[in-house]
Amino acid sequence: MSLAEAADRARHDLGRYVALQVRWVGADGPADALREALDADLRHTRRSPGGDLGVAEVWAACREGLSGADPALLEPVDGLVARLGERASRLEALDEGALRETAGWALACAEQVRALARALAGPPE
Amino acid sequence: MATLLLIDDQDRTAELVRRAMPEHTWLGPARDWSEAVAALRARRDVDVVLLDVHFDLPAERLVGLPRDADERTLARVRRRQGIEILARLRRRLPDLPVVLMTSREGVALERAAERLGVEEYTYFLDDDYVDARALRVQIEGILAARVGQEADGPVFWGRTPAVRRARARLAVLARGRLPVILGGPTGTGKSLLARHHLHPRSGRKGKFVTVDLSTVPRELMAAHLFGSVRGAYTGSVADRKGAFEEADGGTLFLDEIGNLSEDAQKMLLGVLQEGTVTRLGDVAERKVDVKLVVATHEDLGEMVRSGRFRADLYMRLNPACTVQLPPLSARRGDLVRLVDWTTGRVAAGPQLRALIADYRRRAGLGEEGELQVVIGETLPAATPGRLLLLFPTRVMRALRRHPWPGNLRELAMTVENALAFTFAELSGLPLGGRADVVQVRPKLVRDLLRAVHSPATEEGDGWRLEVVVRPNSTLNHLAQDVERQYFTRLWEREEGDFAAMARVLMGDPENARKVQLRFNQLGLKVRALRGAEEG
Repeated sequence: MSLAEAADRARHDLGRYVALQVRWVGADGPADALREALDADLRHTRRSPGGDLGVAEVWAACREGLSGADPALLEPVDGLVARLGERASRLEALDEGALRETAGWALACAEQVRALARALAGPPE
Repeated sequence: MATLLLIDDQDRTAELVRRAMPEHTWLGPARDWSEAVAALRARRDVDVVLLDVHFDLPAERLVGLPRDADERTLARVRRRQGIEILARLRRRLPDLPVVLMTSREGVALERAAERLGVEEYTYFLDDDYVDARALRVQIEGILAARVGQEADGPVFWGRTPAVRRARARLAVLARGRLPVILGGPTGTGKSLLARHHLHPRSGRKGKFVTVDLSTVPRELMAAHLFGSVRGAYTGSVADRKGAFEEADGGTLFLDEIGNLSEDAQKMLLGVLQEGTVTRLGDVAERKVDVKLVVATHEDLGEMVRSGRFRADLYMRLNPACTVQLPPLSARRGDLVRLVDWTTGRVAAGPQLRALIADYRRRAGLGEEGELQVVIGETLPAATPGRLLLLFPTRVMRALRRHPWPGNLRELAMTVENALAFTFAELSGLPLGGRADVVQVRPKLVRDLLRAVHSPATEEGDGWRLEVVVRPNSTLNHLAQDVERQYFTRLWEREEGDFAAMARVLMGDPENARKVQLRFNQLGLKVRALRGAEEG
């Protein structure tokens, strides 16, 4: 798989789903709805017959194909995914402010993955 | 409310769309092409498809994957699986709106979709930024356009490409000065189109005047169309305007133009050339400005070739702009929606309103209220005041199989009769478990269809059998076709008693076994006939 293909896959598998429900609820939406959305987006980012994958696992799978990419492109995503993974592990304990901050990170992560895909995009088919 | 099918290998979007737009029926997610086909076969009333592009599926579930595909090809096919599915969808349902969930950045994907030549019905939803609002705007925009396409007052356009083409031509022809020829079999809605579509769009302030030339005596046609002065013919006791003068400034619709007498053809040509009419028995020319629309179920070109219609008049009628309406048998893709739409219209008509109101009152639904047509087997939950009219799958199967020689008119009549009989039957019965549901019985519909078109119908003391003769039909085929109809009718009359059939056919009930053998050889199945009878 080329870097462009791996980045496109990351855009789809992570960029699309890491903030899918958060975007629908809105980062300023009701706290309960936001917590539920973050649960879906961060703990069940990708669903498969073999079980659900959380945000860190999805990124780890995508990152394998991106090992040759400029680290400067990957680091922002690495950082955001690490923070999101940590927040995902204690979602129930987060207060409203932390929930909104986490939602913002999820949206930022989606944007970073898109930027990565744009940077590594190959010529149009 | 619309029916939307989601085709996506993931179910997260499905959960969101169901929650965000609960007013619609969401089907799926169909996780691959074969599941999509199954879903579309099961529900033929899908309004919009929401289609993902990237499908993370095992190779055996992908379409468009070369046999010797390597890993890289496999990855590419996965990334573009939605495009492959779209291409296949287009071959089956060329005008079904499909929302491709792909980023605007995926230019290559857009180009691929455009190459399919279906951009008119393909929409893009930027999946990177999709949210409930964006999706709602997109879907409602499509549905709004769709409502415009589907029905327009008393005209149902549907999605059949031939009707859509006709509509596009009519939009252009309505405003011009040229005459319009509406062609198509009887009952396809030609006069309805002329009155409710062409005339209102012609921009003309005058009246819409219609003359059905099949009902006007040939010797009176000229006077009827062009007017007459007192004494112009026996019985003409006063000066009288003709249809052209009545329609001055408006639209004149001449139905069944093929019936026009020779004299009237010549005079009509003069009117089209000069823009004036001269009443019978008069010399004064009167200027008329009329948009002429003519209709025929016949082939006017063929009538010209056989000398029954003037070639010069035919050319004046603008044959290049003939708008041909297809028979209902060529609009089967529209049938479900047509039944729904027709039911709504006939139920609101004077014939049925009282019957339905009476039932509603008995069922405690109030005299007036929502009437929803349900096609298939799945009933929605009861809602206060809402009456559900259920057309089960078997009814739809019968309607689909029917050849509809009377076209839309026959469909409206069948639906109206089915509803009238259904509600009339119910009026004498106690209410069932779900009083808000009225089911149209398959057997009733089959009987109604058989009454107007049956391969073997009662005629006097015998049966009329019909055969379709095709250029390659062998005598054996024709004989078997007749034999099959005769056996079927006899089986029905003798209530499945082969001995009784043998008595009729061979003069000896002992030959029942032979008759049954022949019955089987003809491809007839007792179970199928029983099923048809029981409904």
